[in-house]
Amino acid sequence: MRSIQRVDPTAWARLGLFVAVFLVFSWRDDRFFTTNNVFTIFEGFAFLGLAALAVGVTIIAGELDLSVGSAAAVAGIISVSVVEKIGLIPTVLLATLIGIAYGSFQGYLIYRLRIQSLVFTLGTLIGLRGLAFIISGENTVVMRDLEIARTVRRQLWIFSPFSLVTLACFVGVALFLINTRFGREIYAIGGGRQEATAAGVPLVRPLVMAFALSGALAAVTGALTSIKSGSAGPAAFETLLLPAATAALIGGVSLLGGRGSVFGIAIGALTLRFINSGLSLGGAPFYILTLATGIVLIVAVVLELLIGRPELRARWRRWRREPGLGLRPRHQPAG
Amino acid sequence: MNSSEPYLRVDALSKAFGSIQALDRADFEVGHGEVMALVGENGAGKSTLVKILAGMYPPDSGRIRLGGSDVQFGGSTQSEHAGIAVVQQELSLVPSLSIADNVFLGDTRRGWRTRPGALARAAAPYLEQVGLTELDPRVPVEHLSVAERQLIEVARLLARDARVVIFDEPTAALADREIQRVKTVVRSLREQRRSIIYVTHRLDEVFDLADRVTVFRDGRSSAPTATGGLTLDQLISMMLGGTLEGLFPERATAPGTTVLHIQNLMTDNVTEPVNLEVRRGEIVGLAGQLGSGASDVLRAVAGHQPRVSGTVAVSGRTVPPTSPSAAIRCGIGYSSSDRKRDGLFLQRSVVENLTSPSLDHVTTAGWLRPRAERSMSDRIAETFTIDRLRLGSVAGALSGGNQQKIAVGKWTGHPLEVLLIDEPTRGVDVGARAEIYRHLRNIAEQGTAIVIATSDSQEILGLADTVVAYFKGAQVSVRRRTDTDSLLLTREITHPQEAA
Amino acid sequence: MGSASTSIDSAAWSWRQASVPLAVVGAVAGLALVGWLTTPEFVTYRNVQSIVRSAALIGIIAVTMTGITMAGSFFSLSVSQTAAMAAIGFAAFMSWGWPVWLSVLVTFGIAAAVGAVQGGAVALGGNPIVVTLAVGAVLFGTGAWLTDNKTVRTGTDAADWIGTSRPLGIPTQTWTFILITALAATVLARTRFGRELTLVGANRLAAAASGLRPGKITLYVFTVSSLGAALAGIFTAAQFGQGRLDQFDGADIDSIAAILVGGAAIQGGEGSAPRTAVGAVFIAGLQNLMVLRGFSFGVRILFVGLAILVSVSAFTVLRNRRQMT
Repeated sequence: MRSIQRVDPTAWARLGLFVAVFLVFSWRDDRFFTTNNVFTIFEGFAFLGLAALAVGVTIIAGELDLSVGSAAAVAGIISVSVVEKIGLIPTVLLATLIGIAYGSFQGYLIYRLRIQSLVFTLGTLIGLRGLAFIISGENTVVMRDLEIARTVRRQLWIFSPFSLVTLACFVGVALFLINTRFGREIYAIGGGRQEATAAGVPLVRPLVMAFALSGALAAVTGALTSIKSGSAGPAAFETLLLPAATAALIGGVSLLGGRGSVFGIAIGALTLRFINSGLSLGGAPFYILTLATGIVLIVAVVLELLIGRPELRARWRRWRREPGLGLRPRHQPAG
Repeated sequence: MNSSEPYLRVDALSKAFGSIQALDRADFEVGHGEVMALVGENGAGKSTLVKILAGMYPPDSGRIRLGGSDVQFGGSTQSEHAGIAVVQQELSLVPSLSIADNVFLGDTRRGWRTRPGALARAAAPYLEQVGLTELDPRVPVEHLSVAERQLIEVARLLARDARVVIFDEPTAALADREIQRVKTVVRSLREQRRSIIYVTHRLDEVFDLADRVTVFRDGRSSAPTATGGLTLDQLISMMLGGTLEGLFPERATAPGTTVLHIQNLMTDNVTEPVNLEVRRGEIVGLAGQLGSGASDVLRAVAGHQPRVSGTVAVSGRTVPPTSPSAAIRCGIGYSSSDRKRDGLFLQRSVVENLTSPSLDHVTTAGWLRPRAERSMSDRIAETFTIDRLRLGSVAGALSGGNQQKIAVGKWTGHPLEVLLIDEPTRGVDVGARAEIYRHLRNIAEQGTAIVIATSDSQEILGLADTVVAYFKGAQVSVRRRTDTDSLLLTREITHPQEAA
Repeated sequence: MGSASTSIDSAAWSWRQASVPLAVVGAVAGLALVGWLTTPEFVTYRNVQSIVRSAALIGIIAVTMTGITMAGSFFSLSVSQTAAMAAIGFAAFMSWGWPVWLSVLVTFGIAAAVGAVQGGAVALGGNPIVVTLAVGAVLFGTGAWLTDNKTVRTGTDAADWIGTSRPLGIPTQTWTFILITALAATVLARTRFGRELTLVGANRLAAAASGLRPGKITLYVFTVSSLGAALAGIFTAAQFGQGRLDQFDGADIDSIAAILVGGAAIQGGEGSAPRTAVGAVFIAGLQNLMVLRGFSFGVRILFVGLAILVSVSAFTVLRNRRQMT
C-alpha cells in the first residue's frame, strides 16, 4: 500500500491546542479539574456544541445558516410554553420536528430559487426573530413548575440529561454523516458541487438534509437551554452565531466546504469552553469572553490563511494542472 | 471483429446548435468486446455524439439502438441505467472525499449505508480491475495523480456495471507511463466483452488500441474501418476536410523587426525550454493538442502562470514574470481559451468590457471620461464589427462570436505590442470565425505581433505566417507557413515520431 | 445574426436589465400607495422627513457598505461594533478636552485602520463574513474592557451641533445621508475607482487578467465602510453627548437588509448607492407605517424579515432568468 496520510495533518495541531488550553487552565487553577467544574464545562459544551454542530453541518455542505440563533429562540419560547402541558420528552421531540420542518423548507427554497444561503438565511434570521417576539408577546416566557428545569440540569456525576442528549446528538450526527449515503452527499456537494452533480448526486437532497439537520439542532439547543433555565426570552441567542462558528472553525471545519468532522467540532467546542470557563473562574467579565472568542476566531482564520490555504492552493493547482509524475518540468541549466 | 450485430448502433443522428450543424446524419456503431476509436478535427462533432450518448443533449433527429432495441435518453441518469458511461475530460470526483466514497458517489442502486470499512471493501474489486491495488480506498482523492483519478472514474463506471464505456480523450493530460496504465485498463475491459468508445487526438493510440476507427468530419461520419489495413497517412487524409476557402485573409505586408523574444522559457506542462521570436506584423501559430504545452507558453508569457526559468522581452524590455498587469504594462495582451472564466465581465456592459484593460487611457486624475470611453469602444466596435447599438447591453447577452470579438478586441483599446490568443475561435460559428481571422490580420498589419495557440490545424495553416508544433510539452518544429502542409502538421502534433 | 433579430434582442435585453431598478422603485411606490390609502398621516411632508431622518444613520452605514457588496466581498458584520467604538472613542476624546476636529480626525483614523486590517485579511483570502465577525467580537470586547462596559460621556456641549443642528430645517444626519449617497453614486459611476470596484466584483479573475488590482480594491472598500460606520458613531455620540457599546446593536443586520432590498447582487458587480439609500428608506418607511398602524414590535420585525426574503428571492429569480437564454 502506498502510504498516504488519511488524517489531515492540521488535526494534530487542533488536538494539541485543545490539550494545551486544558493544561494551562487546569494548572493555573486547581478548581478547574473538580467534578463540579467539569460538569459546568460539559453544560456549556452542551449549549455551544449543539449550535456549533448546527452551523458546522451547513458549512460542510458549502453553505452557511445564519438563522440558527433566531430559530433557537423560537424553539425555546415554544418549548417553555408547552412543556408543562405535554411533558419534557414530547416537548423536545416537538421542537425537533418543528426544526426539521423549518430547515427542510428553508433548504428546499434555497435549492429551488438558486439563491445564496447567506442572503436567504439573513432574511429568516430577522423574520424568525420577529416571530419570537410575536409568540412570546414581547415578554420573557417563564415556567411555573421549575421541577422540569431541575430534571434537565440534574447533575449525574459530570453529566446532566442536557449534556447526555448533546452527546447523543453528536454520536447520531456523526453516524449519519459517516455511515449513510445522505451524509456523504452533504460532504460531496460541499467539497465539489459540480463534480458531485456530474457524478449523479441530486443537489436537492443533501441541501435539504443539511438545512434540516441545522434547523433540528438549533431547535434542540433552544428548547433544552430554555427549559433548563426555566424561561425563554424573545431576544435570546442573538449572539449565538459567533461562538458557534468559532467552535466549528477551530474544530477544523473549512469554509471552503466539504471538510470537517463531528469529532473536530466537538473538540473545537470543548476548546472554546475550556477557554471561557478558565477565564470565568479567573473572574473575567462576560465581555472578556467575547474578546477571547474573537481572538481565537482571528487566530483560526489567520492559521487557515497561513497554513491551510497555501497548501490547499498548491493542491488545487496540482489537481488542475499537474499532468502526472513523469511530466514535471526538467530544470534546464541557464544558458 | 467477432460479433454479428453491433451492441450500440446510431443511425442518422443530427444535432444543431443555433447556426452550427454539429452532427449531420451521423452513423456510429460499436460491438461487444470491441474498442472503437472516434477521431476527427476539433468541431467535427465527436463531443456532441458523446454528450448525446451520455444523455446530456437530446438529438434533433436520428435513432439510437442498444442491444437490439430503440432507446431514448431523457437525461444522464437514464443513459447511465441503460449502461452507457463516460470517462469525462473534466473529472467528476470530489477531491476531499475518499476513493471509496467517490467510487460509489451518486450510485442510485446501492443502499443508503456507507460504513467506511465496508465501502472500502466493496470498492476494492473495482479498483483491482483498473490496476489500482496499491491504494488505500480510504485516502482522499486529492492526493492522487491525474491518471489515478481517471482510473478511479473508470472504477466507478465498473461499479455501475456500464456496458458501453466512453473514454473522452483520456490521455490528453497524461505522461507516457500513465498512458500505459489507461491502455491496460482499456484492454482488460475489452476482455470482459464491454463495448468501448475511445475518443482521441493521438493517432498512435488508434493503431495501438482500437479494433476499428470511425472518422468524423464536419458533423458527418465515415464508415467504420478496421485499423489493421489502414496506414497513418490514410487516416490523416480521412480526418482533413477540404480547405476552408475564403475563410482566411491574405497577407499584405512583410513582417518587421522582432518585438517578442522568448528565451529558454520553462513552465508547468512544458518539458523542454522554449525559444521563440516574433516580429511586428507577424502571426505565429502554436499548434498542439490539449496538454501539449502550447497554451502554457502563452499563459507564462502573459503572467498568468509562473515561469520556472527563462526570460521574456518585448522590444528589448524584460517582462517581469509576476502578474498579468506587469505584462500588460509591457504591451502584452492575452485572451484565454475560457473567456467566461477570466476574459469577460458577463453581467457588465460591452463598453465596460472593452475599456477594462485601458482604464488609464480613459481617465483623468481618477475621473472617467465618458466621451473618451465611448470613442474608444466605438473604435473597437468598428474594427471588430460589433453592433454599436449593443454597446450598452450586458456582454452575457451577446452571441459566442460577439463575445469572442470583445475578449480579443478589448486589447486593442490602447497601443499594443504583442497579442496572445489561446483558441481564437472556440465556440464561434463559421461566419464569425472568418471575421475574427480578418480582424486579427488587420491588427497584425498595423504592426502588432500576434501569437495564437490552437488545436485546430486548419486555423493555424490558414492564419499563421510561422507555424510552431507542440507535442507533449516540447516544441517539435518551427516552420514557415510555406514549408508545411496539413498532413505534415497533423502528424507533428499527433504522432511526431513518424513525422520526423 | 440578422439585424432585425439583433434589434429585437437588444430591446428585450435592456428591458430585462432595467428589471431590478424598476422592482426597487416599484416596491417604494407600492409602499407609498398602501400607506396613502390606509394611513392618511403616512404621506405627509413631516412624516416623510421623519422617515428619512430615522433612515439616515443606517443609511450612511449601508451606503458606505455597498462598496463591499459590489466588490464581491459580501458584507461586513463588524459595522455596529465599529460605530459603537467610534462613538465611545469620540466621547472619550471630547471628555479629555480635545478640540472637536482632533477628536473627529483621530476617530476616523482608528476606524480607517480597523477597516484596512479587515480589508487586508479578506484580500489575502480570508472569508469576509468570518473575518468581520471575529473583528467585531474583538472590537466589542476591547471596547467593553477599556470602558469597563460603562457609558462614556462627552462632558461638554462643544460637539452637540454635529448631532442636533438643523440647517434649513433638516437635521445634519439627513443632510449627510443625502450627500454621502450622492458622493457614493458619483464615485461608483464616474471614477476609475468605482469602475474597478464594479469590475472586480463582476469577475475577480477577469479583473486581474485586465490588469486591475482586486486586492487593493478590497482593502479600500472595507476602509470606506469602516469610515462610514465611524461617521454614524460620531453623529450619535455628538447628539446624545455619550457613547455606549450597545448603541448600535443590530445596525449591521439593518444595513445589510437595506443593501439587499436595494437590489445589489450578492455575488458582486452590480448595485448602486442610491438604490441602497432607497432600501434604507423603504425599511424605515415600512417600520414607520407599521408603527402608525399600531403593529407590535414582533410583527414589525417579522415584516422586515419577510420584505428581505421576498426582495432577495425576487432579485435572484430576475437575475437567474436574465442569465439564461
